[in-house]
Amino acid sequence: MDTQQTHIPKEAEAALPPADSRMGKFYRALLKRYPIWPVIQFFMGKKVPEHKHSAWYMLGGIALFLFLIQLVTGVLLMVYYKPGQPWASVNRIVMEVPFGALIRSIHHWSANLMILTLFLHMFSTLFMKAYRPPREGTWITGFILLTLVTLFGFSGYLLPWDDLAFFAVRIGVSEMEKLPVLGTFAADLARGGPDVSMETIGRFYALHVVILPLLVLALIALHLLFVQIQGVSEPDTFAALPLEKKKYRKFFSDFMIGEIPVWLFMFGLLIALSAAAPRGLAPEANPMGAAPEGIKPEWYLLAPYQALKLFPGKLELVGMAIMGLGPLLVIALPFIDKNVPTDKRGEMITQMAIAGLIGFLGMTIWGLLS
Amino acid sequence: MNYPVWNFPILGGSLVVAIIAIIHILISHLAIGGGAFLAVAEIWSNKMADGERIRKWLHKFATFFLVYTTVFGAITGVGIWFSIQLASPEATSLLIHQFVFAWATEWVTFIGELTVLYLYYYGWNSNSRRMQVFLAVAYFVIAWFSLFIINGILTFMLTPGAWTLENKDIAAGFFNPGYFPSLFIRTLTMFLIAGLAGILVATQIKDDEAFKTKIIRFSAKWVIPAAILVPGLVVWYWFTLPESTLAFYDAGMVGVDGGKMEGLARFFWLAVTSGALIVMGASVAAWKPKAVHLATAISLLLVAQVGIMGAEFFREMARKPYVIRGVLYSNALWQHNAENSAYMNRPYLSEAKWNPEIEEMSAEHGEWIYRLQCATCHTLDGYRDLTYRTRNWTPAFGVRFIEKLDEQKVMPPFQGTLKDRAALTAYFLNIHGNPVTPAQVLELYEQEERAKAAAMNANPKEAN
Amino acid sequence: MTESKKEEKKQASDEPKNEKRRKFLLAAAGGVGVAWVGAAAYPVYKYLAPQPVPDPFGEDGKALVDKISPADVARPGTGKNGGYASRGIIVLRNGDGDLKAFDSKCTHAGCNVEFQGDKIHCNCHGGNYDLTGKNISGPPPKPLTELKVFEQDGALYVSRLEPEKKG
Repeated sequence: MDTQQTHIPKEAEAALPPADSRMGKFYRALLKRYPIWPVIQFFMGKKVPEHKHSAWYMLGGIALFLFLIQLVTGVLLMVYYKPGQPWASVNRIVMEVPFGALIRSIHHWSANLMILTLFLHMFSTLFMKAYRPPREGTWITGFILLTLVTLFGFSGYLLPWDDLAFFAVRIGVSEMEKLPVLGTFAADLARGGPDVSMETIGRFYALHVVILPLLVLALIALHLLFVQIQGVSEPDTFAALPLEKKKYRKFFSDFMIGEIPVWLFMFGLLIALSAAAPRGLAPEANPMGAAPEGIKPEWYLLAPYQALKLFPGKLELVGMAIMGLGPLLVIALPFIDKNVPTDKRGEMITQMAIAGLIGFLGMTIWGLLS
Repeated sequence: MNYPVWNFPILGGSLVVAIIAIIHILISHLAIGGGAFLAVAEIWSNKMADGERIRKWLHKFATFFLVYTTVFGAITGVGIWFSIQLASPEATSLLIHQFVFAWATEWVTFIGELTVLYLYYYGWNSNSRRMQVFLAVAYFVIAWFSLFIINGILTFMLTPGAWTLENKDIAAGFFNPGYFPSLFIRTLTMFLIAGLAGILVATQIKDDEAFKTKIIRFSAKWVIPAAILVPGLVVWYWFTLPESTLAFYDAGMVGVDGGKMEGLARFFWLAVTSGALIVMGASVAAWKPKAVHLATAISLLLVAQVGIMGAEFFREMARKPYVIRGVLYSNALWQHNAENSAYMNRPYLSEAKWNPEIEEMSAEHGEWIYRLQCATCHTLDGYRDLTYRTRNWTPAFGVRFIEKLDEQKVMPPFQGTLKDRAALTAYFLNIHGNPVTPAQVLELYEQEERAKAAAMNANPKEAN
Repeated sequence: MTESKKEEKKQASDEPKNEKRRKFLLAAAGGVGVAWVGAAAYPVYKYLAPQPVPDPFGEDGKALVDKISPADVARPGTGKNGGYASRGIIVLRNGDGDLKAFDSKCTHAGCNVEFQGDKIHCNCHGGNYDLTGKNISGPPPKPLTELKVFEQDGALYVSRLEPEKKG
C-alpha cells in the first residue's frame, strides 16, 4: 500500500464523511485501493429536470422495481416448478405450498403492472419527444425491451399448462405460422413440433427463465448507461427556459430516494391486487378438449388480436403486414423526427402518436368487450 | 324476512359497501388523528422560536384537513349508511335498535366535532393562542369519542361477547372482547395517518429546505407509536378472535378455491406487509426529507390505504358467514330461525317480506331465490362469482350440495323446500347453457336418490 | 420566546448525552424496522420452509423392504443392500441365524455403506462396522442405526427397533 500511494481527489474529500469517523475511514481505505472516484462522479452527475411533468420520469424506475420483483418471485416459483410435470407442480404450488398462491399471484400481477408501466413509459417518452437525436440508442433499446417483456409474458403464460395457457399459446404461435416463407419453419422450431405439446414447455421454460432474463438484464444495463451518458432529456418548454430558471434534482440520491416510497406503494399494490384478485389455475390442458369459453389473449396482446379480426380470410396477411409496419415506424421515429425545437413535422408526429394511442386503446377496449 | 333486493352487478352489494368503507376509514382515521396532530403542533409552535412560521404551515395543513375530512368524510360516511341499508337491511335495523343511544351520541359528537373544527379554523386569526390550543384539543377529544362509540358497534359484530338477543346486555355487547385491542390499534393508526398527511402537506414547502426537513421529521415521528405498539396489540386482538375464525385462517394458508388462498390469510398479510412498508417509507422520509416530494407523500398515504383495506377486509371476513356473529347470517337469516327445522323447510319465497309472487317451479323461481338468498354476498360473474363456483354442477349434485350448504362452515344453511333447491339448481344450470326446467332437475335428483337407495338395499355393506 | 431560548441552551449543554440518546434511538428505530420487515418476510420463509417429512414407517409402523427377498438372506452369513421408504438398508443373517437390519446411512458423513460378507464397509472414507453394526475402524463415530426386521406374507418388513431396556 505505502509504495503505491493512491491519491484521493479533492472533490472526493469534500463529499466523503469526516476522516475520523468509521464510515469515513472505510470509504477512504476503499478509494485508495480501488480508485473509482471518476466512475462515482460519472454517476453523481446525473440530474433530473424539475417541471410539472417530472412525475413521468419515475416510470422507468418503477418498471425496474417490478422487474426485480419478477426476478425474486420467479426464482421462488422455480423452487417448486417442474417442467416435466407443469400443471401438477403449479397445482402443488397453489394448493399445498404455504403462501404459494400468494407468490404466484404477485408474479402474475407484477408482470401485468410491468407491461402497463412500460407502455406508459414509452408513451411519456414519445410525448415529451425524448427519442430525438442523440437519444436514438435509448429509444431503440427501450423498444426492444418492451418487445422482450411481451415475449416474457407470452412464454410465461404457457408454463402452468392449464387450459387457458394451452389454447392461448396455440393461437399465438399459429399466427406466426401464417407468415410467408419462414412461418411454418419458425413456428415448428418454437413449438418443437407441429403443435403445442409438452415439447413446447421445455423450450418456453428455457426462454422464460434463462435466455430472456439474460437478454433483458443486458439491455437494461445498456439502456441505463445511455441515459447516464446523455443525461435526462429536457422537454422543449424546459430547455427554452433561461439557465437561472432551470431547476434540477440530483438523481443520486435525491430523486431515487424520493422514489423509494413509490416503489413501496407498488409493492403494497401488488399484494392488494393479489389479495383481492388472486390468480386461479384452470384445469390441466387437454389438447383433445374444446377450448374454454370466451378465451382471449392477455390485455396487452388484445389490440393486435382485435385488429387482425378486421382482416378476414386471405386478407389476414395484409393485416399482419400493416401491423408489422407499426413497430418499424416506432423504431424509425428518431430518424424521421429530428429537429429541436419541434418543427411542423414533429407536431405532425405527435398528432399521429395520439391517434396511434387512441387506436391502441380503442382496439384493446373493443377486444375486452367483444 | 327480506326487502326488495339490491342487485349490484360484477361487484355485488357487499363489495360496494367495502369499497366505500375502506375509503371512509382512511379519512375518518385522519379526521381524528389529525385533531391530535393540530393540538400537538399548536403547542409545539408556541415553544419554538419560529412558531409563527410553523403556524403558517399549520394553517395549510388545517385547510387540507378541513376540506378533505369534512367533504369526503361526510360523503363516504353517508355512503356507508346508504349502502349498508340496501345490502343488509336486517342487520342495519338490528344495529340501530340495539345501539340507539350510541348512534344518537355518535351524531351529537359528529355535530360537535364539525362545530369545534369550524370555530378553530375560522377563528385562526382572531382567537387567542390558548383558545386555539383549547379548540384543537377539544376537537380531538370529541372526534376520538366518536371512535370510542363506533368501535363498540364494529367489534360487536364479530365478537358480541355476553350479549344475546334475549338479555340485550348492551354494555356487554359494547365492551366486547375485541373492543379494547381494536380501540388502541385504531387510535395509534390514526396518529400514523395524521403524520403521513403532515408529510404530504410539508411537500408544499418549496423555498426552505431546512424548514421542510423540520416539519417532515416532526410528522414522521407520528408513525413511531404505531410502529412499536401495534404488533403487540395485534397479538392481543388475535386472542380475542373466535376459534372458528382461527381455524379458518389456518386452513386458508394454502390454496382452497382453484388455487386461491383463503381471503382471511391473504388480507391479514396485506395488512402486515403494508405496516412494514409504511415503517420503511416513513424512515426514508425522515432520513432524507429533502428528497420527499408530492408523489412520495401520496404513495405513503396510498400504502396506508391498502393496509386499511387488508385490515378491514380481514375483520369483515373473520365473521363469515355471519353479519353479527352467532346471531344473524349475512343473508339476513336469523340464527334462531336457522335452528328451527320447521321454519327452514317452509317454501322460501312465501316467507320473504317482499314476496315477488312468482309461480312455483317457474323459470323465475330460482332466479328470485338467488337474488334474495345468495346475492348479498355473491354475484354471477364478478366478486365471489357463482358461475365459476357452479361450473361442474350436475342437477342431482346441485340439489344435494345446496341442502348441505352450511357444512362448508363459510355459508349459511339453505332456507327452503326441495322444490326451492331444484329451482335454484336449474337457474345455475341454465346459466351454463343447460336448458333444464326446475321440474326436470327435481326428477333427475329423485331418480338418482332412488337408484342410490336401491343400491344400498342390494348391497348395504358397500354403500356404507 | 424565553422558553425557546431555554430549550436551545439545554440542548447545547446536553450535547454528548444527546448524541448517546440519538444513537440509542436510531438503534431502536432500526430494531423496530427490522422486526416489521421480518414479519412481512415471514410468508417467504414459510414458502421455502421444508414441508414435514412423513414418517418412513407409515401409519401401521412398518415399511416394506425393497430389493431384498427372504431367500436372499436365508443362510447364515448372507446379507444384502436394499431399500425401504426411499432410504438405504442392509439386511443380513448372522452366524447365529438371527436376521438383522441396519439403516445403511454411515454415521460419519452419510454415505450408504456396503455389506461385504464379514464386515460392513463404507466406500467414501473407509469406515468399517462389524455385523452387529458396531463401528470398528475408520472415521465413523457411532454404530449404525439398527432396525427391527421380520418376514410377513413372503416379504421382508422393517420397523423401529423397540428400546431394549424399558423403564
